[in-house]
Amino acid sequence: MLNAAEVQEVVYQQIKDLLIEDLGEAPEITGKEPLHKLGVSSLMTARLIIQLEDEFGRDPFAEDVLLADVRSVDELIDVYRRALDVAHAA
Amino acid sequence: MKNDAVVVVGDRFDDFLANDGTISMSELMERVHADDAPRGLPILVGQGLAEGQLEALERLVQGGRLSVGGPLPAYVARDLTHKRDPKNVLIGLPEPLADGRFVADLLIDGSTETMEDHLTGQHVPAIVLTEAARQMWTVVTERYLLDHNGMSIRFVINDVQSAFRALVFPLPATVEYELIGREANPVQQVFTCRVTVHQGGAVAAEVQASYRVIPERFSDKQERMAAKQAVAQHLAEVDELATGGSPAKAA
Repeated sequence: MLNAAEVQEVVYQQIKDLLIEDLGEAPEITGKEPLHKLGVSSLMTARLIIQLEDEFGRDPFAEDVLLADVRSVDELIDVYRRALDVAHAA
Repeated sequence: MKNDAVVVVGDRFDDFLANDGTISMSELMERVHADDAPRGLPILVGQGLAEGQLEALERLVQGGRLSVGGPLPAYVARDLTHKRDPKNVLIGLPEPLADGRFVADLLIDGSTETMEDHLTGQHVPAIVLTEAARQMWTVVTERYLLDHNGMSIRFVINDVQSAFRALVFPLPATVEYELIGREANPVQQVFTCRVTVHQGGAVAAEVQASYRVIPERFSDKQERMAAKQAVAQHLAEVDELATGGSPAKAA
């Protein structure tokens, strides 16, 4: 199972890859930013979640999490950490 | 007034059929079968004919029982327009012109969904022309502009502006697509176009649109999340009102 730092690294990298594909460069991510402030639209978020499902084997947003409850990149990472913890415990 | 041709029009346009120089499809077929077809007078195909009726005309022409004033039009393949029922297809196959422009016949089945319960007077309702424009940009984009290798896609409209400059009557007409702009990012392509309806040598209607083409799996995921959020938000608002509070704000 991935540890917290590895989950963060995967999420950061997926966001950066998406922004580089779109803009040619990616801003520094602190984790405090909302996704839309980084330039990630709702449609790009949908693609990000598909890609994170490929990475982690989980889609928390298909279960009980609402996207509107995620206000920053750090909160997105927390959603995946919790989903992976639940999956590991099951 | 002496006519050099006669225009066959679907029976649905019964008010228009009072005009000299027109004949309804049902009357034409009756006269052909009674061996009383308008001989020596070429038939022009107007609006209101179903796909099967165009095929029937084609058979009569091939059998030498009818003469026409030009090639008979044909509807574009139904699936390209994203419609399920053939009667709702409103254009022929678009052909490339030049400089990102394409042209197709306007072809209206008399029982098409947008006209079935709304026809006032003799002209084609504007909403039919609007839907014809949508079909035009959908077919042109999917057939000529995209290279999506069979990947499932969705069309989403950003905005549409329409102007109707002259009444369109159930006579031959064409629809023209002009590509104005095209942008792409990792999740979608955005197209801007102008679609015009031409009849009698003039532009009768103009539709400017911007639309997005999105891989279906991205669009589907986005829509599922948005729908889930909308339901949760609505239920929260109902709950707030029921308990005497103010409605929850959109997140």
